[in-house]
Amino acid sequence: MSKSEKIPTSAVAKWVFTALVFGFVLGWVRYWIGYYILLQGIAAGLLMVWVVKRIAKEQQQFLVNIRFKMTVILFFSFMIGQAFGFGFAQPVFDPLGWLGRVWNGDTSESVFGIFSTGGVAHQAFAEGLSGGFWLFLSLFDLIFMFFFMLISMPLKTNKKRS
Amino acid sequence: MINFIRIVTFIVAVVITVFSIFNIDAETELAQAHSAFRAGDMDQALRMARRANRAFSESDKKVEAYKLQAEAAMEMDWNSKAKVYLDRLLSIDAQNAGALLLRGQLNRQLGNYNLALADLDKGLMRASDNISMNKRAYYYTQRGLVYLALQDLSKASGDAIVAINLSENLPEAHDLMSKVFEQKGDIKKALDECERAYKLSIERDKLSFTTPEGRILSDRLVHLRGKYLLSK
Repeated sequence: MSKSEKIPTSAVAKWVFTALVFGFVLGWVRYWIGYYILLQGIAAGLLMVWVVKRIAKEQQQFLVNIRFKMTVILFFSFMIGQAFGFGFAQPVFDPLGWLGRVWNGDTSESVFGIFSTGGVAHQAFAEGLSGGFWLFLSLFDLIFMFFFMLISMPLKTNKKRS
Repeated sequence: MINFIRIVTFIVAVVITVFSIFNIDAETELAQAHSAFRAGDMDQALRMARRANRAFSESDKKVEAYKLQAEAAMEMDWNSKAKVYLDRLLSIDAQNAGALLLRGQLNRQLGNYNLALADLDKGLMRASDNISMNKRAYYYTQRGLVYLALQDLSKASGDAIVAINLSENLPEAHDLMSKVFEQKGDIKKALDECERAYKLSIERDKLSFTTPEGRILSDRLVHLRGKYLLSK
């Protein structure tokens, strides 16, 4: 399969849909339970790519050829899905307004991971996270997610060796 | 076999997720929602009150959670959602004075004056000792504002007097009185009452002029001063 061959739109649509669904579910969970920094990113990244690879049994070579682009597309689809999942869990759909309020410190996000650690960390963050520290940890989680998505995408096989 | 293990793992994960969402200590959650509300974090207050509400089965607890949800939604300016919560609350406890008064205020803000009047009349009639004088005075001013919008100046004036008698230092009551005088064409008395309302609101909160309500009041004061000078 050459690199110039056309990518089947229906297959890409399925992968994007998978990422949207993952994002939606995790956005909903993020509102009702809380944000599990690092674990959510890693688990979501690995699981999402695993499901995409399962769906793309016939298009493995396409995935190999466009692995970076596909990771970016899946990542942003996940983010959009997450915004919708979070927004629909809210009493009024307002995910962007909520982001602004967390950034301004008008509200905070319950951080499930830190909550469950107990002790000093729990006391320090018992009210949840907001502002710059929240942004830093969220970006940290997203970078990990992107990294794990990228490394779990199918790699080019070296046919000469065999 | 491996597929069976995968399915079982998946089902267990879903069960754990659902369990951790719905198996919560509702009392603690509602107490946290109240403290988030007092701290001004309306998003968390709403979220925790909704979580608690889902877990409660007793009517009185659900009523308390719905009331908090409505108050937090009103603070967020999500008035339609607040009305939905109050409708649900009143479907459980139709005689709840606090909810009737709150829905009356909400209907006034939404411009549904006849509905507002019905709720405020019923609420004020049922408001007993468990509602403070200050709160009762506040809702009399709300009803007075409805009468004012309906151009019934004598009833608006009556409610303003009752509100001032109940709570002399309530800025909203003096503001209503000022509006009544302005409608009657007595600009001097309207200005005096407005100045009193402004002074009381500053006494209550030094930064009140930074709030939307405070800005409206200070704009009105400037407007009345100009009007008074022109009328002299």
